[in-house]
Amino acid sequence: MSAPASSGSKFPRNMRGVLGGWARVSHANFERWLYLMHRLTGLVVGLYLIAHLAETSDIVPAYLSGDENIWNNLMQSLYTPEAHAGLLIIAAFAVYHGLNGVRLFLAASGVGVGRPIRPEWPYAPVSLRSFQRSLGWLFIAVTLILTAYAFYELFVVTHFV
Amino acid sequence: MAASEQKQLEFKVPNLEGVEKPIKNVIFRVSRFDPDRDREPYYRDYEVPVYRFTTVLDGLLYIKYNLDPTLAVRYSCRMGVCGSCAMIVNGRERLACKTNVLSLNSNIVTVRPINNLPLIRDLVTDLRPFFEKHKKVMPYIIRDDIEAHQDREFLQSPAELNEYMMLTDCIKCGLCYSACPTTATDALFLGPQALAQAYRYTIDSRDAGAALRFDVVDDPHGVWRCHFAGACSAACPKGVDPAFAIQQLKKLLLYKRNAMKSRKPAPESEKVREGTSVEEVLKSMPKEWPSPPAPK
Repeated sequence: MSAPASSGSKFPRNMRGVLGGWARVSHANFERWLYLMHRLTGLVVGLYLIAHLAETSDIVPAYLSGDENIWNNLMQSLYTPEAHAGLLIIAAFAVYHGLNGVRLFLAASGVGVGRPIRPEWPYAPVSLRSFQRSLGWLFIAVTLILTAYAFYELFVVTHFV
Repeated sequence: MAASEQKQLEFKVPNLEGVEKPIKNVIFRVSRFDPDRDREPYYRDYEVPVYRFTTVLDGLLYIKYNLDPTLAVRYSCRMGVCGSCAMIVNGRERLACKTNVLSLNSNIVTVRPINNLPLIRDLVTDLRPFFEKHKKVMPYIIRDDIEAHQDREFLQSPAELNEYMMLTDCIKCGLCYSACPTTATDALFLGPQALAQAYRYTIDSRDAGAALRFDVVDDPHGVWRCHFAGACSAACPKGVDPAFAIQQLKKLLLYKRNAMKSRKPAPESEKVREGTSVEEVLKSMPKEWPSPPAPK
């Protein structure tokens, strides 16, 4: 008998996939939350970019036909609190995604992940308690502040003043 | 000070509570799967008496000896050295032999096999994909003259040793591979363990195989698939820090690729290692080993 051929169909591959892998939050460390938010925000901002292309490409028929109303009507229909709420989410997500990308770039450059240590009980991995973790909190705070500013610009200035 | 004033040594009776009699009964909710009968893994409950020092592995062996002998569980050393009993206990990657049941603070202990590796039976997963990736990164010292000078040591400073010493504690249990979110969707990803070992041997000052290893890890499914979720380091039962190692490996690839490729490996010591040389040992080896005495 050969070794069990676990590649056969009756042996489950046991891959956890997106929900059990990426979005698994049981006992998640701080970086894992940042990772999940990075995935989510990247996906949403990417979809927004496609929608944004479709929206702004309306200027082409407006230009060709010489009818300015095509463009102006579209802008009018998007000047609502609902659309601005969507823009607020996009603003928050884009800021977070960009800042966290800076943190990841710095980590890949060896910045903020600490120096090697000799593991001693109780183990505390050096990369998970170094500067990059503080940077994660700092960037969350910056995201919140800039989102508050975006709220001021999108709602207070446009709809209530 | 007079000698009579010396304090008498106190002998403390050790606290033996819970050592001789079980403290409580705990439900073990164990994932079961028989490839010949079942299509999907399912959970079965067992009631296990728990003493003060009962580990999860002790509980599983209690089930195997007393309640259900068909339970398949892989273990060997029972002291967190061999890395065989890696499993997910109450939603977290742990070594069953190192996890005290009472420390979980739960009356239900859920035990299931580690993620992202094919399931063979019950709690046993097929680690072959994991070890194949480990082999792929060439986890050994590569240099041209390693065969020629086996009776001498290569020189290495304590600082150079510290660069990789942390990563030598890896016991290849597969817990980081199970915790990693990237291995959950990418079967070709090398995984935290293999990438950490790639860094461990690349940064070793005695090694000259950086170019060979860079060919393997500088790949969309290699080091660049890691997005630094840090789950590997949080899961490691030995305090190894794969997340740190992978970021350092990225740093080497980004900024020191050519310097690492052309790096001269550490020179050998001028001193011949004490004791007999390899040639002498080979010469003095008997052609046939004496057979053990026949049993009476």
